[in-house]
Amino acid sequence: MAVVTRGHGEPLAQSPTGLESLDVRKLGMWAFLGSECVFFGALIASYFVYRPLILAGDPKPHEVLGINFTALLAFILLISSLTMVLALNAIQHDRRRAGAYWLLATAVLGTTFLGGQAYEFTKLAQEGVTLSSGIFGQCFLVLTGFHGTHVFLGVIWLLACFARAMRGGFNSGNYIGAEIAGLYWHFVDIVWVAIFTLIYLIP
Amino acid sequence: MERPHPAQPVPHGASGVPGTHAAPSPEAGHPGAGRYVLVFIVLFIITAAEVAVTYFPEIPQLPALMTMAVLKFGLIAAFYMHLRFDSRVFSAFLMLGLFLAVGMLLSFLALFTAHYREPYEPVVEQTQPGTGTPAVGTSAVSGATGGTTGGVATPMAGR
Amino acid sequence: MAAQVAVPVPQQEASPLELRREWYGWQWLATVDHKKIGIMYIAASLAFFLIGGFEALLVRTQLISPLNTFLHPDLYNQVFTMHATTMIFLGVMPMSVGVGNYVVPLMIGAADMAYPRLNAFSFWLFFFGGIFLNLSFVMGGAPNTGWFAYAPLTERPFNPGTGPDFWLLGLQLLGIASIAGAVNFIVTILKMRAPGMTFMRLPLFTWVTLITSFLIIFAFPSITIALILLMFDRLAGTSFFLPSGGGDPLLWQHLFWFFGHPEVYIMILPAMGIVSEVLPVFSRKPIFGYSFIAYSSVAIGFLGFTVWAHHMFVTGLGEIANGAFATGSFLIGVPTGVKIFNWIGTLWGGSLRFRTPLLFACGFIANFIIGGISGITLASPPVDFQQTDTYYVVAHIHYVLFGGSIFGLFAGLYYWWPKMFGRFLNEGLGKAHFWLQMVGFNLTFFPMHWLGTEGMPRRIYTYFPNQGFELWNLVATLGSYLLGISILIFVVNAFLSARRPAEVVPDNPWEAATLEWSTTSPPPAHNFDAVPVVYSRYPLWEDRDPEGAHGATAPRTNVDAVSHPADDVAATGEGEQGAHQGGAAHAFHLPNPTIFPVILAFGLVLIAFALLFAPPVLKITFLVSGLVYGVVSVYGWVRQVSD
Ligand SMILES: [Cu+2]
Repeated sequence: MAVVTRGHGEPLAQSPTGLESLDVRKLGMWAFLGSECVFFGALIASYFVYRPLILAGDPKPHEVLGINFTALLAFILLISSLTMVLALNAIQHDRRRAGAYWLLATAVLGTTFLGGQAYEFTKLAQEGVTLSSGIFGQCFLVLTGFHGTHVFLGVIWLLACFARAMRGGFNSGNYIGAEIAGLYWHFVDIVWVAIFTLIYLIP
Repeated sequence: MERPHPAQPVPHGASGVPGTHAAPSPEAGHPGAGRYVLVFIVLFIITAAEVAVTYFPEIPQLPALMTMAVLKFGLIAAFYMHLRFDSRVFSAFLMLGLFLAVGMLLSFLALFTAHYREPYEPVVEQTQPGTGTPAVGTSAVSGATGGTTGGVATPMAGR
Repeated sequence: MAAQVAVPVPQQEASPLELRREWYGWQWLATVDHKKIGIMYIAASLAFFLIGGFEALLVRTQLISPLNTFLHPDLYNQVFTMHATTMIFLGVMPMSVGVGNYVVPLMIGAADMAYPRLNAFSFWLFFFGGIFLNLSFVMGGAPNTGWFAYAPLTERPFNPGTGPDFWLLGLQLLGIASIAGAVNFIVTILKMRAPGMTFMRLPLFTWVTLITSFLIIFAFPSITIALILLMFDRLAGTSFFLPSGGGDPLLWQHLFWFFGHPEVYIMILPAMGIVSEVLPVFSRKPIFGYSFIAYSSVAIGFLGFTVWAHHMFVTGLGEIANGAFATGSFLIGVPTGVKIFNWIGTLWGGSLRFRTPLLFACGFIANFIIGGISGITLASPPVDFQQTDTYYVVAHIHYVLFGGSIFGLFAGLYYWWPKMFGRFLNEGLGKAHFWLQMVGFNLTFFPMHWLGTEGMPRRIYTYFPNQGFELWNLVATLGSYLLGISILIFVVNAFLSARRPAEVVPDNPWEAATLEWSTTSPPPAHNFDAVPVVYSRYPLWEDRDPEGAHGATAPRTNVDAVSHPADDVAATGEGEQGAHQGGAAHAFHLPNPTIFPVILAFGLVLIAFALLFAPPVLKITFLVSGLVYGVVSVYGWVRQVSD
């Protein structure tokens, strides 16, 4: 919020690289997301290092992981991505109420996803797949668990945005706060796209 | 909180009210709600196709699934994360991170493939501390701490 | 708590009125000013550097003679592990960050970092994390597994104490601090450059800080994952790295070195940047091959991600992998060599002023060449098979990280000290410091090349007589005492400069070219009274170089003629929201001081303690209080931001 005006009123030298027009928070968010790519890359790589052992072990992933149920979870996250962009879209067009409710819908969908994941984890535990049950359990639970943690933090963030939106904190001139929450949320969705394919679908 | 930098010229009269001023991001190019829904429908169809593919083993699974995953990935990044309409710098961050993550995954796969040609039996065997396996970085310590850590050497440590 | 630890000279120039208004420590504890945070970074890292140096002297004393019993073997393991961990994560890295924190916003003509509160958070998390790590000595034993903590030695069955837990939790905290700091630097440098400062006009120290920050955000996640998996192994009963449960210790090595090799550049690149700033100033000519230095740094950064397994040749990667990783490692020698020629070319034909910063910069070049060459030898697998885990490697890393990074950082400290504190360091003591350090350093570490080729393994607590190790170990230990004395001279010098009555240091005492020298020494809270406009790579040399190729036709802004009315400092003192200067001048809004970053960092440390403690009562108490601190501070922080 440092506002600097030059004394003589003439415009300053033109922006040398075009980076000056970027939003500070968005730039930081993207730098962070770049870092998160490597974070999940390392997690997935660790899973794949153990994949031959996992496939040779017991129980095998395909016997205990339900593709249809996970596809449902994937759909839920996809829908939440849609509601997120709709929220941002509404905010940018000064439909504040609608924006707030789309944000709330996104958070609710995220919570649903978490509920589904909790259900999946309990089901796995009943089948004997836990953190200490063997190589499959630990790799699978740590990877999806960290994704779930990201979803959880995202839900809290979205709820905070919802509260702010209800107070009228966002409008067409001031929406970056919602936009970076959205960036984070879509990133979490993208990671689930990768996990869904790499862990659940690939035979 | 927005802190436009001194470098950002603010015209006279527009001496911003703190907190309300957001960067002028290129809004004109952003697609409308209709486009977002359209993208969602495509994403929906691809996901359904992904699940369907797993029911047809005659389709080469890996290429088919990976193509579809990359498509979904690209669609979300390009439209929902606005990369298509935003600065290339943002895309660069994502691409750099992706490049490293994928490179890491592939090189780990390559490096560990020889390693896991067949699943090995986990063995715990007794060996003399400091001999046998030239365990990198560990033999000296286990030697130094004597019996406390040196008793159990692992078949993997020296490889 | 100890905000004021060893902070040498706070800015005395602030008006006495302001000092009285608020408790003195508060101004440091709650500050969001990049200059104060930078000074705290430097002070804290110097303190940790002294601790790590003391540990090094303990190690060398134990090794002074064969079969010495000065340190118990187990304590020896803890001391050498903490020596390396301290020097790397609490000494060199944060000192580079501290110098960058102070200098980079000034260099690019900005008023502060992009996220001042996050900046404070990074510092406090680093500081608490460092204390957390060092508390391990009195809380059940320090880490004892070497700084790369190879599994499965770090696993519960082989290491039931709390040492590895302290290590992995402490590093996790430091990693968060580093990533937050790096994001801050990236945004600051990409976004907040003064008008006209294109990338090809960016000072080289800023260039390398940018590259280093990229390395941090892309390399640290790898060790974060490694530490998380290890944490699950130790605390939740998984076996990611435990062979008995199907895990593979090699995965640790890959994850660790995927971070570990870029980490080497994270430590050396800032020193290279400092040297690239110091050499032109004291040679009185522009740097030779500016773009070569900038682009070769980028190349080093990229290549740094492709060579991690050269630390793992002896794990039996196979010929192809060995060949590939060796090739990459040799390749890195090219951009590194390019830089060395650039530096020598800068000195060549310059009118040299051998002040202390230049001495340290030259020491950097000399030592770094030796360290680089031993690195090239180690990049060759057959040589590595012989030398790995011997003192040859110890010699190599110290030539790079002490002879390189530390010499470079001292060059930077002597160079920017007058800017930071408005006083010079004593030149005579500085020269004594340099020469003692140069001689002591080479006495300590050069013989280690021979010890290593003779086969002396690293990380052993003693050796037998008549193996040919006695003489050079003795020499190395005596050299290390000289090193200790030289560092003491620096400490004395720093204290003397603080005690001397304030002198008037001109804005640009070294006749340097970059923007930080266009403002007062020390600068006011808002750094610049007018936003500087940059028309050349050497903004303050323009007047001297009218033939300058850059912007010869553009109107010259007289950057260093900007006036600094004395009352500006008081008026825009930190915390004074929007003090408006009169007339047609400019309005600066610096963020208010805030305590929330400190509280959040403290809460995270409490959570680390909660993970560490076994008794449920302690665990829950610390977890709950940590979460409360965290939630309260995040809430308060967000409220402040969105106000
Ligand atoms: Cu390396």
